[in-house]
Amino acid sequence: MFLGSSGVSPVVTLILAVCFLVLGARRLDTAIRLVVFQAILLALLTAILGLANGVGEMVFIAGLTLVIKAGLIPFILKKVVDRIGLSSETRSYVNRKMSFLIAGALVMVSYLATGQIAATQSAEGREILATAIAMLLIGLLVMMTRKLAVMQIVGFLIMENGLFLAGVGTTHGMPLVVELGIFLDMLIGVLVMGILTFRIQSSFGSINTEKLRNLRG
Amino acid sequence: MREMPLVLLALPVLTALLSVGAKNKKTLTQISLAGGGITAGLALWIAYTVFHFGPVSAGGRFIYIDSLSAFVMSLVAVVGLTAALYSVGYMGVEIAENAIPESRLKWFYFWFNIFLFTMFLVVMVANLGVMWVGIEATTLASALLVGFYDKKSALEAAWKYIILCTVGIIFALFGTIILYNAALPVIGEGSRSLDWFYLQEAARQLDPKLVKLAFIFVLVGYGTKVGLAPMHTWLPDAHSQAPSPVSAMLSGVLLNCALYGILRFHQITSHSLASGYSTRLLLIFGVLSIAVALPFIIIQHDLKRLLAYSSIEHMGIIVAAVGLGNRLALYGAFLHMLNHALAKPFLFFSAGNVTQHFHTKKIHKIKGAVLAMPISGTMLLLGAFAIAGAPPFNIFLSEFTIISAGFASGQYLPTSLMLVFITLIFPGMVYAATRVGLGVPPARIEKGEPSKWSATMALIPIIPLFVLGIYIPKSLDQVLQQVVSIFLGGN
Repeated sequence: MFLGSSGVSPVVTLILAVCFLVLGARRLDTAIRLVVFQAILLALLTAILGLANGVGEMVFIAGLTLVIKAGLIPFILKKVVDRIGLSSETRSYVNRKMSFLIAGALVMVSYLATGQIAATQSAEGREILATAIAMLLIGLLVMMTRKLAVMQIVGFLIMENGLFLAGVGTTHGMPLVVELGIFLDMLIGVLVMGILTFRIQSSFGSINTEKLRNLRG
Repeated sequence: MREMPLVLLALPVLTALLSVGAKNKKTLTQISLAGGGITAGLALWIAYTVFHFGPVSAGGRFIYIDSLSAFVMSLVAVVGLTAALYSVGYMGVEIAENAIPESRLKWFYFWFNIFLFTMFLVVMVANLGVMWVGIEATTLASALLVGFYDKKSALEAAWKYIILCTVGIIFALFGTIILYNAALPVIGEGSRSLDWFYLQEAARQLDPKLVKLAFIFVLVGYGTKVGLAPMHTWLPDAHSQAPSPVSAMLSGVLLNCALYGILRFHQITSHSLASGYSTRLLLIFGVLSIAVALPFIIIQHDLKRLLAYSSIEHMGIIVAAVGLGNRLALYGAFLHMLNHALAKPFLFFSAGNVTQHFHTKKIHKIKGAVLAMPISGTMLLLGAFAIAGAPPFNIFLSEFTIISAGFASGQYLPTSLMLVFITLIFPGMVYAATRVGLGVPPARIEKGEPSKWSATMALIPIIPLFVLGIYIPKSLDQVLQQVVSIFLGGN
């Protein structure tokens, strides 16, 4: 099922490496820049696959990825961070060493799991799928362990990038109408999360989600 | 005429845009009521056409509506309209009491109608990918409504809601991609491979391993939005913090829209595997949800959270009934879906009036609601009996149908568990409602209803609860039979 083309593997590895850099990021704006970098890599990968297989739609999707994921979404995030006026640390419940360790374990789990599901696919197809699942899990890890609202948005973006990778890597991407819909949802999603982050900042005086635990029972 | 479904999708968007442009409260109300009325009328007319003349498609297969879609679509239409009607009184009181500034009212109606649009989209589209886009959009449209009061608690609820549901739903997208992968070699590239109709036709040729995997991801993902335990934790927060008309929409139909997504995948999975794989999973999650709701209902101290946990219970009952799997249980499941969609908004309306009048949601701080508010208080009390499953109300009838279907098909363990949990929940609901309803109200509470509109909206919806509890009209029976047949894969 995988569309054979060489030169894909290093890009995929880089995309996964960026996830680890996000886990290591000390400042919010570094994390945002890393997400931009990951989006550019994804766009590159999509374009390579599109050209190699002669699928014009994928090249279009690659362009759209650049505009939305490397342009508009980081722009919104940057606005949020600037308005809140903090370039503070990406506070976490788990320290960085532990984060790396967990993430490493998650990558191994993903490779093992992919071997189980996708025995029929080519080696490259399996690698992409394993990376995609690893990104899904690492994104979840970021969302669960990072305290600041903006970092939770970053985690969400990584998860979605993982899905995008799964879509592009194992098929020619989803049908165009679906891809467009997902892009729109992402954009509006980040916008709404951004608005909520603003309001949380002005009500709680901080975007530390540790303070969001009054509703119980 | 053929493209009417597209008009139906455009109507709420138009209403939303007009609302933003409206100059004052009076115009806003008129726009909302006119828009809501026309939208609901058109939706019901389309549903009627589907029930009588078969499935409708429009926009070149972008939209495909069969009886199951039409059924859920009618629920969205009815609950959407009643919530719009209730909003007039409720938001009026909120503005009069300065709980929200009048200038923000138009944003309420804007997001309200966009929310409605996204729910119609979910049940009308043929493409499972676009359906995902729609379900995610329901979260985005309603998140700002949940946080509408801008208080700390409301913002906390909105944040948890959007984060948890977005993460959950990402797993559902993964499941959708896996199913697409399974369909590609069978159906071929393009939108057809995500069209639930074709997927169902081709179900037997799909790789069963992938189908199983896809279903698990979708069940966990959309299950988060349905409020299935253990992914339900956002639900009580969101339902209790949202303005009451929004709580009604969340509880009455949003949960059903997400469930609709699961049902479509369930259909494909059960056709593909021809084994009880997905039905068993549904049964387990359903019964678990009822069990999880039980302790929270019994010890609950917040009136709206009580109703929210009751929604978890009832979604659990519906899902478990689908999991029981036989014809009678499915009939009960869809009847229960209808009954819950009618009963829960009604309860949120009367509870909304009571909490607005007493200025608190705490159960132990409200007393004598029946004396203080003859209409809303009484309706809240009656509604609690109805939702807990007392005869002669409609919920009793559908729960009875489901339970007897379970025993008749020999699935004793899950059915007995359901029966025990439902029975234990009954006193919990009734106790809370009597505490709120009976007794003498505190002296500071003046007698009367906050608004005539709100009081009317708390009164009228009890009529169908009574009527459907006593007998089911022939036309409704035919519709339900049709939905069940479609669901089981008949004509």
